[in-house]
Amino acid sequence: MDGWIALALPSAVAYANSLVGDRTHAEDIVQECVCRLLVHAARYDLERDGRKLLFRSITNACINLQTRERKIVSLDDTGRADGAGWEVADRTAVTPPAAAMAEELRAAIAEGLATLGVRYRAALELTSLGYETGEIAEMLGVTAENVRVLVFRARKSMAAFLNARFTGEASS
Amino acid sequence: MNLKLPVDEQDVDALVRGYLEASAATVDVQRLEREITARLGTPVPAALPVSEDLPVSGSRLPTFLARAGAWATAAVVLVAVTAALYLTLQPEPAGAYALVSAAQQSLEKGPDRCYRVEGHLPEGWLKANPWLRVGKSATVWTRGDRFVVASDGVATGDGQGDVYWGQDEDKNFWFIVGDTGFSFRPGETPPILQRTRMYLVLNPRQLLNRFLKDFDLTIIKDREQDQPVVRVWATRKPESKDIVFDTAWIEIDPRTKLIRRLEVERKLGKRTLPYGLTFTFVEQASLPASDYQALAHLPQGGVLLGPNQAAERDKRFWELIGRRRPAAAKSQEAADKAPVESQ
Repeated sequence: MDGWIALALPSAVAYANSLVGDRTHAEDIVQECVCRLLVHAARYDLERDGRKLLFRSITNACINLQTRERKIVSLDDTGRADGAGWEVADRTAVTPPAAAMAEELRAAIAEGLATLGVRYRAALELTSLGYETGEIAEMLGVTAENVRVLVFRARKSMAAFLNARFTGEASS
Repeated sequence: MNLKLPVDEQDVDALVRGYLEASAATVDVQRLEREITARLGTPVPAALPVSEDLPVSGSRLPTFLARAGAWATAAVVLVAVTAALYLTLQPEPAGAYALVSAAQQSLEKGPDRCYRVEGHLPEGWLKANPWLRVGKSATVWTRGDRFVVASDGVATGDGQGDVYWGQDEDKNFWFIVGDTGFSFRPGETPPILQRTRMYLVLNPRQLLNRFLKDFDLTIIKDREQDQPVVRVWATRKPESKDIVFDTAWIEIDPRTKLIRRLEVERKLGKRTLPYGLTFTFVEQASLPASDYQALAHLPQGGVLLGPNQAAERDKRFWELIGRRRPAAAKSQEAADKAPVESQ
């Protein structure tokens, strides 16, 4: 399979999972988006633009899903943000307490993100992944100014959430 | 990077990046590629044609190398933040979290473990979902996300019979009743089976994940008891939702990280609802991967209805449980959820 796909898949699934809160759905969406891109491969230079197009497609699909479907509650993979294996990749590099704390931090970030609206989450995550404001605006179908507002509010909300979690106080 | 408390808004991007990186590290790329290839029906060509008549906007150099570098940086950030948090926050039950975390990892690595499952469930749930009846005795073999449950005396539309449940390495959920097997790809599983799986907690590794994420864990020391196990008391955090039980006892061998016994229970205020499950360790062994697949448990001459026979499979499934197939998933969900809400 094309190299760009293999490189993009991990972060694409992580991003989709964060947006829809369901690993199974996330993988399904990513697979579907990759397939769509490949079917229409002749229209694009996928080696160059495939990743950006894939994230744009995933963003739209996830926002559509979030605004259309009610979540099914589950203890298993289908549950929000509790997909399989969130442990640190190299377990030999960390002690079990550190791994447990990594889990606690990850869980706090996941919960904080889940409190954001899907567009806020998408804007913040795409920014953290290195996309530029213009690209994000294109993906979300909003203006660049809207993106800046979304990211600003999302950061503020996340900082407040994490502070409340770890210090018991909301940030100013 | 040290995590400064309070968290500054400028640090949020790095935290989110680290979070996404940790999530990305768990993605099975090869499996996804296989599934994508299967969806397309044909192998994806190594190099795809580039359109000559569709000029695409000029390429910058975010390039995959640059992105890979960003991910690597994010990984370092997450680990550093984690270490800083550990040093500065030092949660009181760190020992309990560490122990449960180690037990979870042990469960994933193997060897395969067998537990006897005993349960008592609310009557309302049982009436609405005959699949919840685990029978007089049920055993579950598990490793990582794979599991296979053998249960006798499960009441189905045709009376009672032995039932095998399982989830294979590709997370296909399957069960076998009599000489008929049903297999569902991830995302295909009917809501009633999803709820069954949820209530019976058929995935011990996921269960431990929930303990780490949504429960307060405390080691309970019993001086009078000289047992080679550590007992961890788990209570659901008040803010944690969507969990069918509230408390649990987890008994772990601190030397081998083996979970000897696990009891979960649901409470509602001061009243204890009749919901609880107990997992008791029976044995461990190294099972072949095929043991977690439906075919290994299908009787000779039996039929396995999978995604390729989805229409027939779904028709037979709804016949088996003695219900009409709902007109829409929404109505099915509502029907399945009713007894839960009535508790």
